[in-house]
Amino acid sequence: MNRDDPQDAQDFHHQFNEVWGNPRGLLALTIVNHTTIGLRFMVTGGVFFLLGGLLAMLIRTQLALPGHDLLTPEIYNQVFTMHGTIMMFLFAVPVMEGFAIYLIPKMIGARDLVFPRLSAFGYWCYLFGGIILTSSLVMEIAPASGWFMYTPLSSSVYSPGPGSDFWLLGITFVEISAVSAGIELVVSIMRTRTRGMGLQHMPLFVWYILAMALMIVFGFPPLILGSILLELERAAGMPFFAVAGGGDPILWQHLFWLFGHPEVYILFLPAAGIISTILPVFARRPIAGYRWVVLAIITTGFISFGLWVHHMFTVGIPHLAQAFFSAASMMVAIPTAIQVFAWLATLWSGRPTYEPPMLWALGFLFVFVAGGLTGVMLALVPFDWQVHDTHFVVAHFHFVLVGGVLFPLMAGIYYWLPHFSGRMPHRLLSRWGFWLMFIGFNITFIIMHVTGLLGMPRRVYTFDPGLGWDLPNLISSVGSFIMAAGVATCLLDIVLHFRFGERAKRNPWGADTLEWTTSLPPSAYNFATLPECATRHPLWDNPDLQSTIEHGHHDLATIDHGRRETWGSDPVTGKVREIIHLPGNSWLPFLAALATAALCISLLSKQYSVAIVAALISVAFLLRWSWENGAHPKAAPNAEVVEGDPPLHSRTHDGPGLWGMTVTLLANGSLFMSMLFGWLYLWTVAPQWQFPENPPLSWHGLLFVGLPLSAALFWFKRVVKQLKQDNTAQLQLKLWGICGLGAIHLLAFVAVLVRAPLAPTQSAHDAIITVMLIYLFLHSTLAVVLCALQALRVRKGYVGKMAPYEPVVVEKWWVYTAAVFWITYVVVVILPPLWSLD
Amino acid sequence: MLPAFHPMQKILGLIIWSLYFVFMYGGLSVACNHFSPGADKGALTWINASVILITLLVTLGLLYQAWRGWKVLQHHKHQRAQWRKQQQPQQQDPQQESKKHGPQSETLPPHEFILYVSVAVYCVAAVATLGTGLPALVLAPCL
Repeated sequence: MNRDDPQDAQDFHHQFNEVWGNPRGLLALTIVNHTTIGLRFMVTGGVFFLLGGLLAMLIRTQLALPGHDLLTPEIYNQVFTMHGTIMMFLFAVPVMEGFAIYLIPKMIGARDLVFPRLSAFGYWCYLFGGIILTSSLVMEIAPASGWFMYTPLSSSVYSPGPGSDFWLLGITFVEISAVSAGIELVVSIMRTRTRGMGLQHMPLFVWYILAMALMIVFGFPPLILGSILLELERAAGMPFFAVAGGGDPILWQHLFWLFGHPEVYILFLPAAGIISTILPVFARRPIAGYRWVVLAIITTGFISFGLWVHHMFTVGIPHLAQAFFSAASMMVAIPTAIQVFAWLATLWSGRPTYEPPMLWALGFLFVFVAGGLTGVMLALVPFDWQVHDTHFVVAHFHFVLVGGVLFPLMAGIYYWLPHFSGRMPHRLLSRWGFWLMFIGFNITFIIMHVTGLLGMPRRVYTFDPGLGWDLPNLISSVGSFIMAAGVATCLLDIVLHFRFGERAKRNPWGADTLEWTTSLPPSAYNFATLPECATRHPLWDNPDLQSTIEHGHHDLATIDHGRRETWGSDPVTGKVREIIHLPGNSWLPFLAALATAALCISLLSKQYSVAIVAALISVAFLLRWSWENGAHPKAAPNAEVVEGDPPLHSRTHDGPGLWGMTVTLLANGSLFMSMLFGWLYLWTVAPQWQFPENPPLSWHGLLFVGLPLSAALFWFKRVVKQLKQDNTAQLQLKLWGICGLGAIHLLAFVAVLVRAPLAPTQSAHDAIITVMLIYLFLHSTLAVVLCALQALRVRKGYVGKMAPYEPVVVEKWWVYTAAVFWITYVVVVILPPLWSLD
Repeated sequence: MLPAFHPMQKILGLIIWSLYFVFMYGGLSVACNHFSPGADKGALTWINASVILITLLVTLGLLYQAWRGWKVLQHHKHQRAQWRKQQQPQQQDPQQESKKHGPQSETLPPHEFILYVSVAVYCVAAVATLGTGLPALVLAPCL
């Protein structure tokens, strides 16, 4: 095309829209594009925020006066449980993910996330899970044991209704969404950055999201496991947390807080990323100490995993162990302080302008630092004992979460509002919104510290007059209404700006990052051509970048092949390695999520036969999804590329799927390690734990099960090695042979399972072994199914010398399956007889 | 041993700290449940001695890694400076260059960036290890 001819340029973009455009009507359910999915996450999260906020207002109204009877105790329990649950699981995490899903490709110069169907699937899981969970509130059968669902309160003995089941199943469903987003973001950041964007050039927001995504990958599986175990205890009577059966309720606390504390940083890190993006723009200078901030991000990501027991200081663990966690809790303040100093230094040495996003950023600095300081107070064990379960703790974590998450989020919304809508917010209304929220928040929660220090416990539905709590509670409630007025003002501003807001000019804030080179609002493909980016401040260094991108002056300008394409690059240097071709719109994510929702509902209503059918349908959709990949005609019918360009990823040995599988297995490994932790914990600590006199699993029986698995793995590895050497002789036959070995392994497994005298409802010992065996069996089954699919794909011509990529991905699953089998064998079968602790 | 420029070096120090932390907590829990030395002995127990010994060993190991990375970094910087000197004998005033191209960190090659971060991470991990283990000097282990 003639790049300077307007008609040619228009045709050029029209062609891109043909390939990338979003359908309307019912077909909108098939959209997989990250811009749309990100916005859907944010809007849905916003709706849940309003619902959670409404519940907060009910709580504050109830507590405004002593002896108030607006809510019954039962309803109050449901309201505070659902307030926390909605805010943590249905608002904060999904909205942050929404921001990341929307922004990351635009910031790294990619056209979409690397697994678009996974983003769509994650969204639908989130939506359906959220609807299922909140529907319990309408039916007055909502969970009522607190957002952390401590056992035994949440067990079937003390919570016999379906409330806890709604929480456990609904949250697990929503967490599938979170983990899938985590995997997607990690791989996208590592493998799809535009040409030249080395690690040292990545915008800080991208670093923050990388850390957040990895923390999700490692942090969420312990809670997923805990939820599965607690649901099994409630539904099937397997006593993982019941002392009489050899379980221990403290195990739940460990699993919950193994997730729960990193969760705080999972929320804080992207929020800090927003601040690190906004402050330099409005201070008109690069951030001070880029490398220090990267160091702080990495350090926070790790040390925040070493804090979980500080939520359990009062359960009776040894002082020295408490000291470990107390030390870690104080140490995590150091990287946080590094970031605060970097932000202050940036402001100090810059020329700040106080636009609406900056107000929120400055409000964040004030509130979050205060919340962090009370966090350090709570890290001190004696102080923690004094204020444990009081309103002081409630005030502290609202300072951290509202100050450290909501305020930056609002800053981000105002900052990227022109990006979402192409229009600017109203200056006066946005300022009113900020000040009302800031003042209301501080009135509510500063005084709540005092209420807590005066001894008012949390989770009480009312209190007697004359205890000294009347006035502080009233002030807190008044403050909360002021804050609610602020929320309403901001909402009004945002809604009205879509109609009345001033049109945004190009790069309205004078930002430095690539997302502002797209049109406002952006097209579905973000960039018509992908620019090289070997700087941290592409727009400051080259203000004409938007124009040159639009006029086709950069890479991947060809679209007549009909493929959705983006660069696949080296994770460290950002050198281009391949062209990643992305799947288009599809019903499969929606249908798979719908089937999973049916599974969830049938489990809730205890229709187990329906649940099995729904699970099989869901798996069928997911397998069909995996089928339409690689060299499948719907994915990439031909492999032709422009001369000089690298090959398509499906024609190499190292595409994003390999990374996706690796990160998935890291999440899976985290779940497996949590399971091992549960086994070792109950074995060594649970007061009534007992090994049976005759072990239910014989060492030689399980050895016989494992040998064909290992043989199949070695054969598979050999086949992959040959494939990498372009040797595809009898590839299909070999894969069928491997499937045969896998089938022998499965048959032997079934025989052992049937013969093992396991009584999972009688003892925690048998219960946990049963869960482990089911876990292993499912992995083996999937390994065989994936292998069979590969054999079929060879027959169809989708896998072979020209497209050798997929067996390399499946190989990793086989390696993992064999590894967890043998680790379980050693820890569960071999170790106990060798090392008796009794 | 991983090469000093390997990307994993960026996080290896804190991975080691995490393993140390889990081992300390798990080991202490098991030891206190099954081999408790008794509260009357205070901090003078075999458990505390083990905690302090392991803490010191891990800290020294992490500091060694940091030192190793620092040496490689200095060597690399020196080599790069030499190479630049040879390539651009008539280089302009460094201050002018800095103004033109932004701060020096902007132009760091990716491997040097990794080294900088990894050296700092090893140092942080060493401090974190020491901070975690030091309470064993004064606290009874199983009280």
